[in-house]
Amino acid sequence: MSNIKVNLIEIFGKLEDRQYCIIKLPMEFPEYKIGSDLDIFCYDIEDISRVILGYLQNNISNHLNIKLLNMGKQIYIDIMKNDKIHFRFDLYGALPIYENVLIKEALFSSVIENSKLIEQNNCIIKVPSQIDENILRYIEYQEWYGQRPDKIKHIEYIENKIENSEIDATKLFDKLHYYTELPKTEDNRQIVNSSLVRYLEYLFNFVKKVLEVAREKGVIETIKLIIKKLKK
Amino acid sequence: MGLAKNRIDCILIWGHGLKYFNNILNDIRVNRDFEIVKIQKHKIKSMKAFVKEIYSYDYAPFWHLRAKTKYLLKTPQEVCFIFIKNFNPDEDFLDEGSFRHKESLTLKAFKEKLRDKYNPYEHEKRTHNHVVHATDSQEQTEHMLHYLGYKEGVNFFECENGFVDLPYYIKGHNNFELKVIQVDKLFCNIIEGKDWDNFSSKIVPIKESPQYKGLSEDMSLYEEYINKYLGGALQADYNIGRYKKVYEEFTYLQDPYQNSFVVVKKIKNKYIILDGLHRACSHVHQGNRGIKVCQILK
Repeated sequence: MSNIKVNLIEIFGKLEDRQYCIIKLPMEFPEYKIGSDLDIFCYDIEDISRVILGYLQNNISNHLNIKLLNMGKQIYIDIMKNDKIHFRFDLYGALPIYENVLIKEALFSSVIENSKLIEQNNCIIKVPSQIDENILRYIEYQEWYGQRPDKIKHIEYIENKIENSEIDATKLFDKLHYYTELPKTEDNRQIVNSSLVRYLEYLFNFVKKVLEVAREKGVIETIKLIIKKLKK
Repeated sequence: MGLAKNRIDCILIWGHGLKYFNNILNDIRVNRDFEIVKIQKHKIKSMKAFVKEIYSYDYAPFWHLRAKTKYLLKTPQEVCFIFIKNFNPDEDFLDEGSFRHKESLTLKAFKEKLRDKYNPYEHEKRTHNHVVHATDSQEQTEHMLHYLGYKEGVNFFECENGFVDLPYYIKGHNNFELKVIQVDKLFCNIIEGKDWDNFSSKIVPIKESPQYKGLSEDMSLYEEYINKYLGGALQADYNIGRYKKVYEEFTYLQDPYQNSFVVVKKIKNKYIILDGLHRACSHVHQGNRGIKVCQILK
């Protein structure tokens, strides 16, 4: 069976006159990890899909096919090799829906309008401006940190950029505050007087959390995390 | 009221003009401002009611048209609606007072040419027994589509997505797979029966279709098929001339047609072609064993 390699340089060459913006550009681009995806914001999601499919159809063979799922404002184009995702184009025609942060819809067009052309490993592409890149990373952190503690990397990235004066922190926070807001929350918890009941509630929540982590990371990793926490 | 850059229009051939059906279709085909999108023949129960229905959206009141349309009551009770995309309507407002109305100057001129050619003549003078009627505005087309039962009106002709070339009549799907299949798994629907309004359909391998036999045996087999069912079961603009021309220059999915896949649906282990039978036949007749298709999943 032949080794399949999607030529992202050629695909993005065909998109040079289109309005799009690659979000969270991987370091290895235009190389890619098998099974990985590429998030792209674009105004005309169908037109961009058309260009991508028009190119990819040359790669279709007995071992490789393409699946397309149209969800209206989001389209997946999956390159499938032997029924497994080899690579996914994740196209957005609007901002995804976030639960933990409120975002003005206009941020989407602002990201595309302010995108910049860069060259990475001989491929010319459009990516968000430094400020937008940091805002999107902050949103990603805010949305997922509860379930994915590793998302702290985004905050570390932002801190690093500010410390090294690579971005103007005032401009970053001005835009962030203009386009985003944290959802208002109401604290409706009722504190039970009985300390026994409170202890049982704590135990119940602890077990629930352990099970969630075990499901996500596996039993061995979970045990390691518990031991690490007990040592603290 | 704005003027449209392009719009959907309808040319209606009255019963006495149907003997020129193929000529009129060819006249439309060679006109670069128009593209035929649907051909639908129609049997009429009451010509009087039908004429009133057709002219009910006309700019002129029906009492004014009654005399002008009297001749239609004696014409055969069969008509044909030809819906076209008008790429150059060149709309303008004509007439005065209560008769003032919007009209496509391109279509108006074309309609007059058809009437010059095919209207009956008496003493070498063209009569007013028009063989065709054409819509003044898209609202009139909308009304005709409603009459035929297309509730969406002109939106019926809108294609649903832009990422692969799907015809307007394939709608409501959002999950597709582009893949290679062997041509012996390709099947299609063909029409059988006495006449354009008396037919049934059956599923056959594409090599048994009149479209394929037209290429592999004799094009007249396909020509007979079109002549029999066009306007009935066959409502797209099928014609031999274009099929021959496309076949001679044909390379499947070649630029700029790289998104024009043969569209299929899998039913009981058979891939049934929903769109692109001519392309599939051409590809198979060129000796290919596999074909890239767009399979509709949901």
